[in-house]
Amino acid sequence: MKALLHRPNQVPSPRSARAVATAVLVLAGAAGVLRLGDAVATWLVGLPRGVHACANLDQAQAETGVPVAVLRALPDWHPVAIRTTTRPAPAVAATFRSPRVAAELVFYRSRAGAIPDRLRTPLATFHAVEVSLSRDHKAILAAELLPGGGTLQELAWSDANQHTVMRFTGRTVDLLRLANLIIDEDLRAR
Amino acid sequence: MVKQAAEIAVHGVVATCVVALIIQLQPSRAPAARLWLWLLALLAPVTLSPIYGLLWPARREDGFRDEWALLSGTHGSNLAWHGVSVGAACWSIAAVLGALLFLRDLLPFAVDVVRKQAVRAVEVPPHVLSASVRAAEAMGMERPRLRFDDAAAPNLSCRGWRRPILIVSRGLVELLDGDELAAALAHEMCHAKRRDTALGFAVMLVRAAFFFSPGLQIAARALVQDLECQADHAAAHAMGDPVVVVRSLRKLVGSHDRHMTIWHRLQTSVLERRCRLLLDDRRLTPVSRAALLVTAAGLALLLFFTVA
Repeated sequence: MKALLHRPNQVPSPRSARAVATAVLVLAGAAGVLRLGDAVATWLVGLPRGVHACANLDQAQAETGVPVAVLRALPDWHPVAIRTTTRPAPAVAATFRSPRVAAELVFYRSRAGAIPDRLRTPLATFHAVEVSLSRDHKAILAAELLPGGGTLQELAWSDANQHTVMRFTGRTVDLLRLANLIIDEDLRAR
Repeated sequence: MVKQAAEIAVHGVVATCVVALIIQLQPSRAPAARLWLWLLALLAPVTLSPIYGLLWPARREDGFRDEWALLSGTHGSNLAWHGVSVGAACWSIAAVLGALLFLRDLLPFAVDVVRKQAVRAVEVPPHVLSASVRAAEAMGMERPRLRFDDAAAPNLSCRGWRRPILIVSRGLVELLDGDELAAALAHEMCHAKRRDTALGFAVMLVRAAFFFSPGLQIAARALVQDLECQADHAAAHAMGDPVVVVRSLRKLVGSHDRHMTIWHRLQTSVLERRCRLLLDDRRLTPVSRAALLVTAAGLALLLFFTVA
């Protein structure tokens, strides 16, 4: 009976150490489970950690401060996916499709820093040349071979503390024309 | 406001899961130790979430969420299934579950209060008085006020905050023998001594305020059950025999007649668990303060890095 009513005043140290170790293990396990839950949610959404989806371009501009209103220069192109990130530099990525052209256009723009890799996966380019878009705008045009045999072209230029990249699966001439429209609209906006 | 509420709900689930797991795994399972841990699970989300929101507003910004947070609600916020946001659905299900858990305890109590007739106070029989004197001496306290209710339902309760009063019904006195009655009275006197009624009321207020958090509802339920376990152990210790307390509890469980209140019917399995705990000597070692401190600090950190 005494054993049932035994109330020790002091906890033996091995028991205390075991209790502390149990608490530490459970807390560490909980941290792991929370991190895993976050990773699963991120994976299900299909966006890397730190990249957010936006409903429209105005929201993307409000979140990042990156001017994307210039895309009014492309009235035929409609955004189908808009992603943003704020670190290390605020940046926007918008995927466009047009009913008139059987190609996809992805527009990237960042402010005060290069476009983060988690927003724009690097290309395995086989070919890169410098092209002149206007008197003040030099750009790099690169291309990557796609598995189906087509090419993905990338046009990148920097201007007034902002970096812009366009990726296009259509013709080079169409890409250069679209870039020119954007540069014109950019200049008008200033 | 909604984000704050969602964060408290998420923190409630995290704190309750952590504490439940620690209680299951730790060698120490004394009621007082469990009580402290459940109190931690109840108070940490309620107090820390608003404090964090007030002192570290940057915690809610994308930079913290993306670089530092263990779990961020925004990372899964775009997840949708057939056009329904998964986050909003989870939040709604959790809120309904929390409200159901709260109502599960509130409704039987409210129904009993509505159905209950006024206490028909009559003179306390001498043998009940002597049993209460015996119990008070064993508990080492002044005998609290006693009221005898001439009701057939077996009932014993402690009411009031500042000057608690014990209410004993005729049905209970007829059900228990002298020793069992003294043990039951010692149990209620423990509640009176520790001002458990005030704590119970405060817990009910927290439950009502945070009805949407299932984690907090579970922690609060467990806390109240451990208050009862603590009183059981104190009564057993005072009477020198846990078997007497177990006997009185089992008689109460066995007295399923038309007089039993809804509240008591729901408590039957809980009473049986309390009997098992009373007879299990391995569970009487107290928790170490170091473990409690580590749990509190770890939980505070864990909740800091969990953003809804």
